[in-house]
Amino acid sequence: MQYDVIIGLEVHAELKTKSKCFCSCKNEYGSSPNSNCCPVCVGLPGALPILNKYAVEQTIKAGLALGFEINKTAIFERKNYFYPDLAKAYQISQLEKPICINGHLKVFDKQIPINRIHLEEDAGKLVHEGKETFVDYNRGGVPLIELVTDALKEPHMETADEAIEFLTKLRQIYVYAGIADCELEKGQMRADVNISLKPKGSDKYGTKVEMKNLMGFKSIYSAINYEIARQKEILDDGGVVEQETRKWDFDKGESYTMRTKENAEDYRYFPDPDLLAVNISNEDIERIRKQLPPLPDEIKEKYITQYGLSEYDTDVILADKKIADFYEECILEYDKPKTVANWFTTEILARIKGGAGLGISKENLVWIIRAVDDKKIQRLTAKEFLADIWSKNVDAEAEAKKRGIMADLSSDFVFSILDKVLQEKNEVVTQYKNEKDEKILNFLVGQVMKETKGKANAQEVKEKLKEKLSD
Amino acid sequence: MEITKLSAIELRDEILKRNLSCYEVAKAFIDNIKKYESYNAVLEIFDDALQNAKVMDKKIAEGFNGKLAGMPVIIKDNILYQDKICSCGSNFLKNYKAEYNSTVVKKLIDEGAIILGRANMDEFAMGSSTENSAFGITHNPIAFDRVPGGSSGGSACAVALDMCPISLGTETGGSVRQPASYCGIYGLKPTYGRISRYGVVAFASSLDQVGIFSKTIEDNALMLEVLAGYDENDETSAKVKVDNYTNLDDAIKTKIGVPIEILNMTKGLECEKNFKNFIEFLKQLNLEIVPVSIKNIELALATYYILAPAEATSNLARFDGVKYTSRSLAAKNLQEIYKQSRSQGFGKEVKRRIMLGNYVLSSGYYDAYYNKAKSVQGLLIEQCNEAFKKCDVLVMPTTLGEAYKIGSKPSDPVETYKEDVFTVTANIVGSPSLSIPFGKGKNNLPLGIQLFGKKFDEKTIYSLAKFIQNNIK
Amino acid sequence: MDLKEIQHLAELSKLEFSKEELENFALDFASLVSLADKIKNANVKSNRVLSSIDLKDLREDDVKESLPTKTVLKNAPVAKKDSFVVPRVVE
Repeated sequence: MQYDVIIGLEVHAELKTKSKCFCSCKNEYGSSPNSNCCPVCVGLPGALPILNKYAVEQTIKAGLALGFEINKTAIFERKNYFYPDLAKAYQISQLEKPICINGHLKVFDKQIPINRIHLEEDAGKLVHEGKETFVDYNRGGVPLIELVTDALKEPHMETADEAIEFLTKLRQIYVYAGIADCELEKGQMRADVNISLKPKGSDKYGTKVEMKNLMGFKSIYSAINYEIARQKEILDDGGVVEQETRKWDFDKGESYTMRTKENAEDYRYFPDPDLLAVNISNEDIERIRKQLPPLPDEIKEKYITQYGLSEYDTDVILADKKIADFYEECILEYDKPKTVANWFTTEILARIKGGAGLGISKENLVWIIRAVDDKKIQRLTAKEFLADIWSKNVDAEAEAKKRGIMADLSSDFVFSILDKVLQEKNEVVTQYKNEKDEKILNFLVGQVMKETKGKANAQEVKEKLKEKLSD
Repeated sequence: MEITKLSAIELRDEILKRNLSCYEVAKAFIDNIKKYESYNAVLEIFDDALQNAKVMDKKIAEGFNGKLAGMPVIIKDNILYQDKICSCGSNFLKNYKAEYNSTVVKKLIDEGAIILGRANMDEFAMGSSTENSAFGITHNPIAFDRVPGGSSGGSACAVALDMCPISLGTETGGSVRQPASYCGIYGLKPTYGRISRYGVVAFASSLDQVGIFSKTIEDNALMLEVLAGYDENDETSAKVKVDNYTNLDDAIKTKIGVPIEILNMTKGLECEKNFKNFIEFLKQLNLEIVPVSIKNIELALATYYILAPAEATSNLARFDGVKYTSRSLAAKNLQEIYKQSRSQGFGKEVKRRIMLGNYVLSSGYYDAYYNKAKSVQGLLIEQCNEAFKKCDVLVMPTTLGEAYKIGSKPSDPVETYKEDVFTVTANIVGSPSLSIPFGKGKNNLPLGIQLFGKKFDEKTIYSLAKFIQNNIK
Repeated sequence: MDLKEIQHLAELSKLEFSKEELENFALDFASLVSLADKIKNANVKSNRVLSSIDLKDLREDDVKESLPTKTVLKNAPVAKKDSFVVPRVVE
């Protein structure tokens, strides 16, 4: 049987702020356990949450970047449940009046509707060792935005590829807008997926199954495909899909039941009496809109139409904001977007693949590119030179001079080499004079280049040789 | 002069004039705490109190002149004072030592107060008699076999028995005004948001306020002046200017509103006659009396017993045996830690309210109870605002009657909850309300009357109370 | 209210009761619910009052000093490796 697949996403991202969502402790990853904690983080008796203005502004920014309406009044609610990572035994979240409602994100050719983005606090971290679980509240209270797609509206995401594209684009937007760093390995972006199947064309929605604990895009991709297949098999066999929450086991590549509908939690949401509702004015929204930097789609457009880059090169450069920022800086120094882009897509990206950082300064890179364009260094020589000085703290120009790799065609040195080669390869010279074969000329150029250790510009050597041999 | 009979202001002035030392003052009051130990008003005398008094003497000699210089104060056992036990009258927190200072304690210390000890209370402030403390019942200062009221019964008893001139309690539904009435002293519940709640163990966050017990109006006003004001650690504290409460106005032009519904509600109660006497007394003082209506005030009690448990259930969930409360030794896994620690830690009344709170919040009941209660709250606020268009202060009895006998309440909890019928409205609408001693009951025990004011207008009720205080004698 | 419902509330509350206690609670609850029902049945309409704050008046995103880890763990029933400790949470 044929089915329509409906994929919904709930995406959590930790906001980039200096302090936490409801207190002034540092929002910092990787500190020693319980060192960024105050009475609020640990839920000490008498502690009260104080909302961080910037966290709300960052959430509004996320909404504006994704075409959301911003609620004029935002309310914070308590979501009550017991778990050791939740110090107060409730999470401050938003239910009835989230900050952002009704947005969308373009995935391939579909505008995927998004229901909401709300602001909440992250939970602490649990580390399991032997028979014990260690609780660290540093992450507790870190501002977190939760985005929920709207599976009740068309069009839906239907494939794992679409879901991954959604997440990739969303992540790029968050990063470009400075909203979140979204480093997956630090858990700064996490997604839950829900999937339902219905017979093709049917109006009636199928039972939704939620999947949790998806670490990284690879897990998400596999888990979606696994779940679609699982539900298909059940339905094909005439069975009923149970409403449940499943957990993905990355190592085994399969999921298992975590919670069924019967033991679903009752979170007893109610407005947090410690917090006031937040009034968001049109002026606030416009002020924040102005702070929004150019987003990936906009930059892409500029690269293609203004800079004349290919779509492929554009995507490659924009994939990592750090690279894209570096690219823009280089262009400011040397206004040859296409030339610079070529260096990026070949030399630079190859070197930083696999997580290595940028090993060259803007000044050095621009100097090298310019030197090649000005024919001061041979292209090949320049590439080797770039590799040599990568991650070294040197001044490119001084280093090139020191190494003597700069072209200096007018010098006696090059002429003497030219003469020397012509003399030594007398027979070849005669042969060329007779046959005028390009290959023979190229051989001679090669000899000269070898003697100059690559310092000369091959094209110019070739012309000089031609000139000399035509006498 | 007998030190412990002096008012707070008199004490402060004698201390600043250096006629009295902080040390001898603190000593005199501590002696009284020990003398009346059998009343069980004070759970602990802080061992550094006398030392702090000595330090204060030195500071005063060097020119310090804080508003509470050398003033002995007792705080309710749910107000955090760093490194001191704060047990909330509960076994669950019997060894819990505060990691930080509440804003009110910080303000007390900054103005030179000497915090002598912590006062007994109903566990987690849930109760109207201080019979619900895990550390024993507190006795009424005037009639030993009766309750002092609650939940701030220890703080009220301490002032009435001259263990300190001023003490702090907390209010959620009458926990300062009702014991003030039973103990024959003044008890203020300020406007919601007037005093920071930071560091005060929460019962119901949208209703809780720190309150003040005193033997004179001036002392009460002085303390409010110190404690009131916006606090960046409490989002619900108000950025409203703090009046100069010690410089009170002439109250002769104050218009008094008498809610007609209250007259009906008092019918047949012990407080009925006294309330009528009070209105007569006001008339004799030539104050203008106007009838007003708070039509749905009879719903206030039910509203309170929905909103307060709902918030409490969530506020008390953090006491789970993981971070700071005691943990059940028998517990083998996480669920057992939660259930056993909480079952052993909390007393019966607290458990009852946690359960009730979960009931009104749980799926399927939320709209019928919690949401409905929030709209009734909105309605009561509107009705009070309407009433205040016709008058400056509302008056009503504080309690049904005199303090009742220890152990005399029936087992049906609602019978005890009815004690709060006159006090909860001020909490629900957020208004300030002051209980002043007025009249006696059938056993010649004190009764109280509430002066219920507009939001942030404590000054008007203090002024009126002073006018009454001056005319009673 | 039946015992099963009381039992469910006990689970939400993370409280344990003996059978006798549960039965007593059922009695209390009948009385408590009848008090609460007074507003359930009241025919009143009003908007919820919402205390609010303007976005611009919220706390600035500045960092303040945290508590020392030692203080954070001061009252912990069990603490090791700068962390609160519970028996392993079975996932």
